[in-house]
Amino acid sequence: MSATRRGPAAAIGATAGLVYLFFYLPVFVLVLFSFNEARTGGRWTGFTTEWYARLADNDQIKSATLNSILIAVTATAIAVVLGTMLSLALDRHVFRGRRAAEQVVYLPVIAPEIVTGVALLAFFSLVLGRLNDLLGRSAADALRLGRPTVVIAHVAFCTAFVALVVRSSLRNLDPAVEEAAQDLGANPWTTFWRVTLPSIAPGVLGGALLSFTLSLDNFVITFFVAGPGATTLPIEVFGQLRRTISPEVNAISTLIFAASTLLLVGALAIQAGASKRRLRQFRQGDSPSGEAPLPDPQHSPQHTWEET
Amino acid sequence: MALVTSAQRQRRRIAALLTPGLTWIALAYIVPGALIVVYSLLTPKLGGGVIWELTGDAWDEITSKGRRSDADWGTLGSAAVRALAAAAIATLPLVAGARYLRRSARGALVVATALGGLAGINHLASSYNNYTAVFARSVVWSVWATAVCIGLALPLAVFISSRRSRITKNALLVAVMIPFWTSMLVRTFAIRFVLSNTGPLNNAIESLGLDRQVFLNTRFAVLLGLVYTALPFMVLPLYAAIERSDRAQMEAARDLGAKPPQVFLDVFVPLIRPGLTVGSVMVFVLSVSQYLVPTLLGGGKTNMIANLLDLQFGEAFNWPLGAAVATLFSLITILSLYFVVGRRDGADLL
Repeated sequence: MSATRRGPAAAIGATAGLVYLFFYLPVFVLVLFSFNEARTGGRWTGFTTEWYARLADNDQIKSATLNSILIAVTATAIAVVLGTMLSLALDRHVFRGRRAAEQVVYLPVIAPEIVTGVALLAFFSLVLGRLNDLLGRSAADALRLGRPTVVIAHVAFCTAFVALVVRSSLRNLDPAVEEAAQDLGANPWTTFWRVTLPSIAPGVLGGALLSFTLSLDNFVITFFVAGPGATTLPIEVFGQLRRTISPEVNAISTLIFAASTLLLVGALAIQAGASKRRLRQFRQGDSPSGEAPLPDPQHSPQHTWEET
Repeated sequence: MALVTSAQRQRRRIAALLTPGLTWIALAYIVPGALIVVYSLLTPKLGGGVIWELTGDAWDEITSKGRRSDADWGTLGSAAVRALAAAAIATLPLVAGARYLRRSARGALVVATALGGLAGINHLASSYNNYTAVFARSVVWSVWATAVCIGLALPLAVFISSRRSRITKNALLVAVMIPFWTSMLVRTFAIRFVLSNTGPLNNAIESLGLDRQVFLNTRFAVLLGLVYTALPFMVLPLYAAIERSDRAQMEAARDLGAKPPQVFLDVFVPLIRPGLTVGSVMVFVLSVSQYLVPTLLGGGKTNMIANLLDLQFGEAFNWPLGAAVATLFSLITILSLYFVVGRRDGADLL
């Protein structure tokens, strides 16, 4: 750690380099071979974009992608509202049972996905079975697992993550600002729309992007609650890569990887912009400055659950 | 009077903010969780689902001794392992509470006793029945994955945190966040592709004049996959803990004559303990419930707990048996979270 001790520092640097290589080499190889001419095998034979062109003609992939986006947009729209409401209650109010409410919100973060998946499968089949009996539906037009059940499941965990992200940006907003607005005659509703929301907008947007990505990438829970009618992209890709190793799977994996990376960079850029603006405000006032800009671990999504 | 109304209004506002989100999460997590416990006591229906008749069959199946276990269960060696495991578990609290030992010595003893106990339990569970064998394998692999992740993540976190320039730090952090953020499926597939029998790694080996190796569907591949997918979950909490720790304490220890290993074990490790706990819990919980890694890299049908659940719910259609496995799994997860994290670090976690 200190510059005076050369040996440990070199070992730490070397390990760090190897870990980065470990992170990126497999993905790099995957991306590289999505441009490989050979249909099978891991030998480089020449450059082609044929596999990407074939994806465009693959109806299963296209419909699964559409499904995924539809589900992610719907789930995110609901989760952003519910999650922001939760974070407002948990951060701006003191009330009995707050700790219990917090623990419910943390549930999706710590519960093993596989248990959630099978539990939801059992729950949905029970509810759908009862509903079908109640509505007198025959086997042909019975209600089944499908897009709605996937959305219900996704909203649950997306809400939790949105709540965590928004809460961490609420913490950076001085409640005195909202109190001032109320003292000046604004009702809680106006205060929220004119004061609170504009200040926490980057957090809400970051939460929305996180929620969108989580929904888009989710495999395990979706695997159990999707049923045959609502195949999402990860489930389609899983089915294909289980059957065969083909360069088309490499191509779609590359695109998924690129899309998530872009979403992450977008989320970080929004947060960086927000904290730069905050920094400028702090410098004009008397608050201590020197706050971290870009991915300050205190504001980024993955650290929120240990901050409370 | 006006005060009461305002308090009431406040309470109503809080309820209005909380109810929709909490109801949704409870409906998707708590109600199905309770339902799973009930399902474990019902009769399986052919083709999936349950018949609402109480029976203890599923629990009998999980808890009764397997047919194959007879050879191993009663032997002298097995009895010795059992005694050792019991001794390890019994001494663990004593060791952990031994105040007269130095902190580093106590830590080493706790780890050693825990590993000894784990090895004993693993030996016994592997020979008891198929279910305990899968549970034991999942837990042992996840403990290994957690240990390897700590070993790799700690130097990396220290490296990032010791960079002088903000920009370098942020760039290095983003490089950890990208794998943290991207699809688990894609990352697992990347490993599968690289390791496959005709894949790039084997081609590289062959071009060196060596024989092709079978990497896929081995224990090595699963462990590699577990570490690969979980590693970012260790790096980020450790980094946060290091950034927050008070470096002056380490310098003080050094100035007072502590040797580097002492500074590391007695000052540095206690300082970053919250990060270690959070990271370990996340890596362990993620690994022990992994589905994609054992499925895509391990081959076979009942590698880890998730495969067992998939089998019972998706193919064998014995939902009560799957529900019993899920119940037992959740119980073990909750208990180990409670004991491992404890009260003090639990406060940091939640």
